[in-house]
Amino acid sequence: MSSPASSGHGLLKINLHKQRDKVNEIALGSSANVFSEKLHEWAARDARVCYVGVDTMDSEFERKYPNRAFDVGIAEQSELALATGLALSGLIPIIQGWSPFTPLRNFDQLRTYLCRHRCNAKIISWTLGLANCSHGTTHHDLESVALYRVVPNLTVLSAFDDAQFRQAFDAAMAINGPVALLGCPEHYAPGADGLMDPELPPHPEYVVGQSQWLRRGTDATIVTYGSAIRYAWKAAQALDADGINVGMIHTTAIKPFDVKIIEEAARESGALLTVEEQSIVGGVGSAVAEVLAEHWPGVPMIRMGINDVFVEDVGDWTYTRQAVGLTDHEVIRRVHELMDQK
Amino acid sequence: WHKLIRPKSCSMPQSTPIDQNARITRLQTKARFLRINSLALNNRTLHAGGALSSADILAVLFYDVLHLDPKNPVWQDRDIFINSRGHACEPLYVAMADLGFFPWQDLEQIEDFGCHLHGLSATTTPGIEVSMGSLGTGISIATGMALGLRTQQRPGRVFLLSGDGELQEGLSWEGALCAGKYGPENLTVIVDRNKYQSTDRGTEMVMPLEPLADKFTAFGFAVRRIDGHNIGQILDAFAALPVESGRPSCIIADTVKGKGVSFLESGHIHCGRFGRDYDPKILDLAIAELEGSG
Repeated sequence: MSSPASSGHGLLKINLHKQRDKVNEIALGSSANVFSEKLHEWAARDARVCYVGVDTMDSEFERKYPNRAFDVGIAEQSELALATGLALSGLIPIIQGWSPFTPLRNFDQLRTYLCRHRCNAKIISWTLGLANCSHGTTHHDLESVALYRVVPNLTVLSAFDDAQFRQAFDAAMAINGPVALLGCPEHYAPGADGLMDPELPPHPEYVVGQSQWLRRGTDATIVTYGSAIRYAWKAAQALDADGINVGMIHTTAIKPFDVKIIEEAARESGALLTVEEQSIVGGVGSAVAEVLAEHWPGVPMIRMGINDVFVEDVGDWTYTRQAVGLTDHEVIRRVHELMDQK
Repeated sequence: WHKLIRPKSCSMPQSTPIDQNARITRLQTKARFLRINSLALNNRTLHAGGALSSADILAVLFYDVLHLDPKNPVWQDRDIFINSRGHACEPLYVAMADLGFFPWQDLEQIEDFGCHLHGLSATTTPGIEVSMGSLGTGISIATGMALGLRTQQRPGRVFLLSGDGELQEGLSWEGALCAGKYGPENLTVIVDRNKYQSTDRGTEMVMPLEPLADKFTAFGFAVRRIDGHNIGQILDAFAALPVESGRPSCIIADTVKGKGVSFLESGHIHCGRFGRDYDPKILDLAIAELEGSG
């Protein structure tokens, strides 16, 4: 086999079958594709909803709504500029954001046009972090969160699984303005990282501006989102078994950033570890550091992420993450290091 | 600060049919007013060359072609005008003040602290549809607006006035591809083809654009090329829209940067503040020449 499965990660071989099945379901337009499901639902509900893709047309949508389906081809700048025009005319564009090219290649259109004009448009962003592992640096998304965070008027939401994605999508539609919804890479490459979904506690109600406690702890708090939740959660359970009481926050509210929950974590646990599949510069780690520096100086924190480097040592997703030190073992090591600083 | 000259008539023109010669004469007078007042404003703003090259096109659009309601700038059935480059917005501001989108005296505060009239046209000004200025984005946005209006079966047409230099931006052509694909015939892109960059170097020296009509044709537009200072030709071009049914229209208006002021046409001070960067007497000379040309 020449596929990444030959690189020695047995779990991946199993999951490739699962992945192929899911991809087939998506290709066949099955409701397994939660994005497609929500797009169709909202298009049926509101005649202003239209779709803007970059060589990513939903064929069924195009058949049902030919006057509301726009595909600009491989042209990210055109995508956001066109969506700006559509929104200014009164439509509500749902935009396929293929990261890292959105927002890297169209940042000017995002900032100066879509968001400056408070366009009622929703960017659904996929393939964050190292999901496009083996493609290499061109396809690694290490800075979307940093870029999205600096754009005024933009709301940035994060969702982990299908159930939460549905809630977040509805929340995005309820906002009369631009939203970037970061879907978990699971939707793009199901199971490709060789880690199964953790059994998380039931999601609380999705409220814009409020991040979510997944568990509370007194020794340290892990602040995370996206695919990093998988290994962070595994680490938290292992630490728990060793008698270390670690809290965990799912950062559903990236912008506006939920300051209150970080203050609660600082108060309750006195030490914070951020874990994200993004650069340590400008992402959620930076957001937490800003809160602590302004409101809780002296509370120790550590940022885990990509250490301001291009990731050139690539393989499958698991290998690539190991290469940059994003594993459950590393999370455990950093929690111990953090507790020594208290 | 040169005194602004308020034109006597400021009514919207569509109501009373007039004979073609009288119509042309009236629009020529309007264009001259736009030029004179643009230079007066240019004491503070930047782009005299483009302001003068586009004055005839803007006069025809705002005093004859566009369906607008200055008292209700968000009227559902209006036409959409977008100043793609954002720059060179002085004649646009003068026409809009004249038509009553905002008080005439606001012009005297242009670029002052807190004034809604920015150096690049922005939605802070009533009637400005889109804040522009990052060049080359206009065709894509205008295409989106035209398609959105078409989807909603609204009667408005979209007119985009584009600079020529900004067609060097790649996004201009991504937008043109998209317009060609979807074919909104309610979209008209007008190119102010004054052939100079803001650096006062020729477009063909910096990054050649010709054959420009062939390029737009190849991308799916129906193209018409006119003399951008001939009011009759401009009127005819707008009266015959769309150039072809089922396709977006492109009107390439050949213009002269600094049109109407001899030493601006031949010289190269298209970009700069008269009152700050040059001897103030130059402004007086320019306005005197325009006043004498009527």
